[in-house]
Amino acid sequence: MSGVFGRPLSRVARRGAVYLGSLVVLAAFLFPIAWMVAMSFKTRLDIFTWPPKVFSFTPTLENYEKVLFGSKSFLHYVANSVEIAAIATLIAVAFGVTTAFALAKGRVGNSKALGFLLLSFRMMPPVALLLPYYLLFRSTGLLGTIPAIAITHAVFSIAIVIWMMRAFFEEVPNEIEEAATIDGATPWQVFIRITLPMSRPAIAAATIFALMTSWNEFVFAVVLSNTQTRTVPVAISSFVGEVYVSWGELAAATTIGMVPTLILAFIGQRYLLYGLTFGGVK
Amino acid sequence: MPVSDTTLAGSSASRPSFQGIGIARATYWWFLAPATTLAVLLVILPLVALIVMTFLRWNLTESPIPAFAGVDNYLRLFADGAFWASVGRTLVFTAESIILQLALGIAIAVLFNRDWFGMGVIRALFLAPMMVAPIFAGMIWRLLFSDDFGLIRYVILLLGFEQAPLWLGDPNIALQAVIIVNVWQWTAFVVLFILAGLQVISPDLYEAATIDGAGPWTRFWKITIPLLSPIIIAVIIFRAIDAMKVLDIVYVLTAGGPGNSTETVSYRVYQTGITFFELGYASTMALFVLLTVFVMAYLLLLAGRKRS
Repeated sequence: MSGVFGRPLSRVARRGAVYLGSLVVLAAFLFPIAWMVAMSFKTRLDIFTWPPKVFSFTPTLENYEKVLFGSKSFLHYVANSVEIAAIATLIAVAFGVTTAFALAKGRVGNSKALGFLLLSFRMMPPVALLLPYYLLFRSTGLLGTIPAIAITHAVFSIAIVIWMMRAFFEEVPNEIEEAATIDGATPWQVFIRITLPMSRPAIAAATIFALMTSWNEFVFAVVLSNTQTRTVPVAISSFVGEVYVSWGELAAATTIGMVPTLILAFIGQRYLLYGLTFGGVK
Repeated sequence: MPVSDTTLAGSSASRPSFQGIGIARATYWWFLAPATTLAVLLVILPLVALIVMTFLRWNLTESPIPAFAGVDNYLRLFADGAFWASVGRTLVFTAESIILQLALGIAIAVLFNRDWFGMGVIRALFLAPMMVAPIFAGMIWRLLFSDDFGLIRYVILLLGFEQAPLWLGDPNIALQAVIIVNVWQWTAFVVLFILAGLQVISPDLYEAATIDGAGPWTRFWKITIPLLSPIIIAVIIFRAIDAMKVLDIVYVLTAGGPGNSTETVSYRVYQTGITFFELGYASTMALFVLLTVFVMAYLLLLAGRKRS
């Protein structure tokens, strides 16, 4: 640590150690994902080989072929998930953005109380709403339908959409909107012609957040769906209960379920963090 | 990765009021109408229904028609040993998860807290487990824990142990397995918060302490930890609220078993209500979960306010 040459050298060594340590930590945390993805490319034989071959095997697409085009109709569940996520996101973003606009620009409502209300909506334990929803959809004959599942996902996304958009709108200066108002524009015109075009990145972020929330949601989907309207997480959880479980196909299905969210997450990471941490990390 | 500023939950609500675009307020109510309708129909009314249901005897396997039960469900709840056991289990799950996540999270955040080349990428990739749905995370670990081909068993045998535990099949260990999955998934969340907190601490403090002769360990305990404590409190509450809601990973890993050994309180509500159709009693448990979360969210708000 001392001496003329010792000091810079030890600094380099320390920097190297930090890099190495960081990479080891990262590898340890990513390994489970990588291992399962690798498994999705293994034959049954390679999966059960002992000692296990982690990454040294001949990859096969067999599992993907079976999952996507076999008897499991997994593609059908993917389509369900896409449809539900699209409806939920459309509702959450459309309703959420207009609400956030009114809250931020119209000075309606007590901001503090509202903040708490939104926070509590966001933190609502799913089991509190699960039973009332179950009864509601059962009595209206909507149990097992795609719109029923989608609307419950929208409820859970909308609070965070409002939260994110309100923070964005409050930081946008009001001058342009005020000028337009003085020129005689109605709030709707201001909203559609001025505010919306300015907020495209924030809306994109809210959209990504809502899409991910719906795609990953499980509790409502498992209770409110039937065998025809299962979403991807529900379908995957049901594979395990089957008499014969093909672990390779299960890994392939899980990989298919996971990849879209990982891609979306890295596209919208910056804003996603704001939503995930309730504004705790910008 | 941009981790710079911290404005927690409550504090953003208390920002100074700004000038709105002054036009007739009434018009704005039309903007609020759709979301308000949704909130009333799908949050407020269902919660009212939940409260009403707690006073009903309503078991769909017996009769589709509910009967008024007074406070019977509440009395049953207080005397229900299995329910309180699930609460206790949730507490163990919460405490262990939080301690592990905090210890790991702080250590990793301190390691990652450098703006060197490539560290941003490392920090970004580190978030991957958190982005994976709990169901998929549970499935990944179910495979890793497998007794037939799971890698964890292989590593344990490789380390020279005679036998590897039956992670998900042993009632004494299964809860630990669920905790491991939860820690794997949410440590990144803690790292995010701690990183944000570390950036706010002025380097001058460390310099001054170094001049006064404080070593790295002393600096960590006397400067870093005390200054991080508000963030640590917020993180603890966030994670505790989430632990109260844990259901998906239990569902996919163990389905509450073996026996009841991994049955958390949310999972018990699900089982009672959806599997056994005891709607009245399950609602009473759900209300308990809701009130607990509500109190914790309020504490979070207070903590946020204190900080700002």
